[in-house]
Amino acid sequence: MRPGDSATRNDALCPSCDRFIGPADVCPYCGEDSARQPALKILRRAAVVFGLLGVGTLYLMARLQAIPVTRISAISPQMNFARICVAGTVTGRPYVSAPGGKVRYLSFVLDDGSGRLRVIADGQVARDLAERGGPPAIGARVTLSGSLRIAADGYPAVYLRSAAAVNWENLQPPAASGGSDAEVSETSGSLQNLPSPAMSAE
Amino acid sequence: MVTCTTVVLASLTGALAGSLLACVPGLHVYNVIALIVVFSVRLGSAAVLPTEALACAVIGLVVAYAMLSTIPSILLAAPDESAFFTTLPGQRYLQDGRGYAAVWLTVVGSLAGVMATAAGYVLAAPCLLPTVWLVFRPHTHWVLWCVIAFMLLSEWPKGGSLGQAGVHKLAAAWTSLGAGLLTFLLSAMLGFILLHRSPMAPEAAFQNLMPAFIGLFTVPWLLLNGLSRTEIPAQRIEKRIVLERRTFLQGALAGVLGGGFAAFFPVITGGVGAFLAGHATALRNDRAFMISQGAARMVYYAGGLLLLFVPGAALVRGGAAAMLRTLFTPFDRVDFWMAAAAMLIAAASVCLLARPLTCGVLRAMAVCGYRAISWASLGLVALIVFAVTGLMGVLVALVAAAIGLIPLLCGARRMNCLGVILLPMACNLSGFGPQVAAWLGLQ
Amino acid sequence: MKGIAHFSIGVAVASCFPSVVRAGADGNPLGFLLGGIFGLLPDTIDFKFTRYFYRHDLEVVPDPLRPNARMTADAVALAINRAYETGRAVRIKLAPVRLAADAWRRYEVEFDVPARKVNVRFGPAVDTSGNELSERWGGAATEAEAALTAPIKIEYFARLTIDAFDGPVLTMEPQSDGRIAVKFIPWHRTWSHSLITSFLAGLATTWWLGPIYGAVVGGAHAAHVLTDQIGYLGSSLFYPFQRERVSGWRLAASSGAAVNLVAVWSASLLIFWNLCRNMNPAPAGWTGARLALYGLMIPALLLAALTRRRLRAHRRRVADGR
Repeated sequence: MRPGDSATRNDALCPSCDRFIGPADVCPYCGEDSARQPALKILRRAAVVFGLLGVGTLYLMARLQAIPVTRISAISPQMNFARICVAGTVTGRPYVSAPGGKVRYLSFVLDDGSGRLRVIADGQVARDLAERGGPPAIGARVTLSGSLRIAADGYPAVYLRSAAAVNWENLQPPAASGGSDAEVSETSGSLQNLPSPAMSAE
Repeated sequence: MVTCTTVVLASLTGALAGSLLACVPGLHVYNVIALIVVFSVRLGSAAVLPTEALACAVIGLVVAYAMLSTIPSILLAAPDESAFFTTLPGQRYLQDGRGYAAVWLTVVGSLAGVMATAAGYVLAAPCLLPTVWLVFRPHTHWVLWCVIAFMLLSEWPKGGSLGQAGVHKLAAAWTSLGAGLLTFLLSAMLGFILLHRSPMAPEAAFQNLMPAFIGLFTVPWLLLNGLSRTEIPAQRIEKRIVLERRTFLQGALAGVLGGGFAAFFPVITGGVGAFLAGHATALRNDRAFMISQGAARMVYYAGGLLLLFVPGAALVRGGAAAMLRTLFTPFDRVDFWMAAAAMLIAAASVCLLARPLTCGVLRAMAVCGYRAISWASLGLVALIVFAVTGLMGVLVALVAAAIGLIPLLCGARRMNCLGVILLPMACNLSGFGPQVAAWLGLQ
Repeated sequence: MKGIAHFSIGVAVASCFPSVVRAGADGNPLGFLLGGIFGLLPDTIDFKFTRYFYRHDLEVVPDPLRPNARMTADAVALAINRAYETGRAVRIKLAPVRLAADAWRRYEVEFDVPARKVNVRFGPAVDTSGNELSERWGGAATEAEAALTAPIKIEYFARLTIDAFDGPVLTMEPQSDGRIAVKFIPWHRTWSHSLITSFLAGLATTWWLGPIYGAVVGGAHAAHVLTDQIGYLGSSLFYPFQRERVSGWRLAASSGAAVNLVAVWSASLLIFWNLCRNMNPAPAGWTGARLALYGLMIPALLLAALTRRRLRAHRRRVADGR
């Protein structure tokens, strides 16, 4: 079986010297043009151009698009992993876990009148928020955006992606020891004495 | 309390459904599971099925998909040498009229994967996995970074083999490498956008990446099939396929190692695992390669899902485990053995369906032609994307398709498209994902 | 060694530094990443850059439709004879013969040193992995030989096989003893595979990032260089002070499946062990001896047993004349 036999596509052979050239536009043996349909050549260039333009367009759309405020009662399982914006009031005692004095985790519950939602920050975001004076105290009006997670028990929670995504009024810094508005744990980091998040009925 | 009958029936149901769905080009089992999860949560899962039964059905679906999704990917992979720089072993077999044999080689590999998964799961996982995970847990991020680095560095230049040395020769060689890097960067950027500030509606967020994956991998494949002028010869239904023991063992070992690596470490997919293992075992033989592909897929999909059931570890690996977790949390050794049983029952039943389904797809190809099937499948995936994610999802899929065409048409690796999850997740796991997103203005 | 073996060994070198492991646990991947990258970098530099700037004097491009062994043999002989006559090195490039997207015509160039001739044989079609494709591609083997006026000295293998992707450049270099040395891919494993380069790379990284990262970079690069010595080609270990390649130890072929798998597996075990011993507290029951026993010795014994069985079967077949 040789190049040019039926097992090899003619489009892959040079029309001048009959040697295999694959997708090359110019034959490396005789220098002649492959003379094949330009569709694939056009498609190749179009793919690069549209890929670049497309990503650019999506990027601009993502940056310019405002995140709409979502009512907690409107949260559904399909919204798992969605970026949402929620506004409400802090209810219950916020919680901070700071083993060894380094803030690793904090959370509080938000109520927007239609339901309740737990807001969680961990790692660097938690530290940044603590430096800003967070978590917000009970009764504070909060507007935030974050990533929604629907847990196995069906309860939603919002994970903050950055401390700058949280804004609140009536800021009260948490005290370091007992009797404060925030429950602070410096040892095990386990959740203690927190109100269970009561979700809205759908 | 789950009964044996429930386990058997649920596994068989999942396996049957998964086998049929696996034959549809472009349809991924994770999309189906996502719809099941959403449906179950809306109705209250107990109203649909007991959660244990649901878990067994999902295992059946995944096992069937892992074993039989190679049917369309082999039989509908037109080897157009005027478009592609290289052809895969499955395409060569198809070109030689041996697509049926190629499918069976991957099925044999999948069976090896099932046996290895069962053995590892039962014998080693409960005692080894918790400790191994404890050791690797804080280090998974750099493993991912290393995989990315190796993937990019190991790509071989195509072209630039003829002519005198010089800058033009370097440019000719680097065209394909440059295309590979461009693919990776564009898909990574797409991933950052979708994971941090998706332009799609929040109601479609549970399938945020689906349009991207369909666009990056499925659409280019089906599109080029539709445009291809290659004729696929008639395929032989071979009654006997001779396989050397050494070839089988080499392929199975490579597949199990690769699939196991991908199942254990987060974010790394079965394809990447198989690629790494193929390099590590210096796999050359076509048959061993196809066996390794089958084994890697099975160990990655099924093995990854079963890690959820390992007592003391309960690792969430892969989309199926993540979605199943929203409905069902395994508790004890009963669930552990239930999962093993479900996998084995499903694998056994899917084996029986492999031949009729392969012949069915071949008959459909003979009647309709692979181009018509490809165009129809393209329409179907477009419909699915629109139905689940809306018009914005279709736009995302189109952009992703443009990116996915670059490696195919410019001689780079399709695997570079995995930048859509690899780079954003590597940044997240290292802890500076939000910072990168902030720099990009996506926070 | 294949790239993944070098990469894994580089990462394993990085894991030997406790501060790198601790940084990794804290979310900093740089140490491990540098180890892997510099473990692979020497071959990356050579195969993706250096070879495209290595000029040649002659290029042999066999016709895929009518491969001409005579022309190829004459061209190789011309290169050697010209080098002998002019006293200057001559470089000749042997191009591959592509038949299809995944099909190549394999040909061999064999140097017969005592008889002073070069033989060229065009053989079967093979795929990218080197497996024969005689079912689809026919073509009778053609063979030719050409006489050499000069005595030659072989530095690599006397028989070279050219099949997939790219063919080698050979430099025919006159030696002081009057022979012509046939140097295989002379652009490979020179400055990029020098221990001096390892030292300098480590030094530069130390200046930029600190001594630990410098040690990782230098160590990973040096590990690549020393691992390559296991094979046949060797490297210019002390370039630029010694430009000739130091011949390899010839313990294993670099493309061998077993040696690559053993390298990757051993590197993985070393990485795991280093991660374990830097944990506080370390996992109970995981000692180095136990890891070596279960992770290395038992699989090695199994592999040896399997290989011995295969060797015995192969010897039986040879003895039976099959």
